[in-house]
Amino acid sequence: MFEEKDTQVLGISTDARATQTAYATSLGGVPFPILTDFHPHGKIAQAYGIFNDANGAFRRAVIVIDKHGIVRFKKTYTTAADLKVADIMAEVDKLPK
Amino acid sequence: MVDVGQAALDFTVMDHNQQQVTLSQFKGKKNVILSCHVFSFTSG
Repeated sequence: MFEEKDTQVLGISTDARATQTAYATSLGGVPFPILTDFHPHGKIAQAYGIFNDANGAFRRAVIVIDKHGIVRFKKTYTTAADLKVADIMAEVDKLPK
Repeated sequence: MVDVGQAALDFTVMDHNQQQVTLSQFKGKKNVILSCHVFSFTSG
């Protein structure tokens, strides 16, 4: 879906690498890398201002970075249901080609 | 804090296949969607 738009999806959480491996296996494999921001803990989440000190994890969020390495979209979501793939697709469509 | 309109912070981390992934490896080639989850094995 996003591949057709020259876009790479990267999943990420503060879970350890072994957890990500087990999670991906439990899903029968995933079509994109699931990254670990475990050590130093939450470094990436903190850099982007989406680290939740209350539970040591990412806030649920989507960040879109264009081909030039510029952040073009960043949004946090209260629930997974609030996150609409079509909205993210619309953001990708706005990016410079 | 990195915000919209700013250069993304580069990073290199491991993925679930024990492969190193560096954000800047996609620069000039692909856009990147960073999908941030609360915890694996949850609805987050």
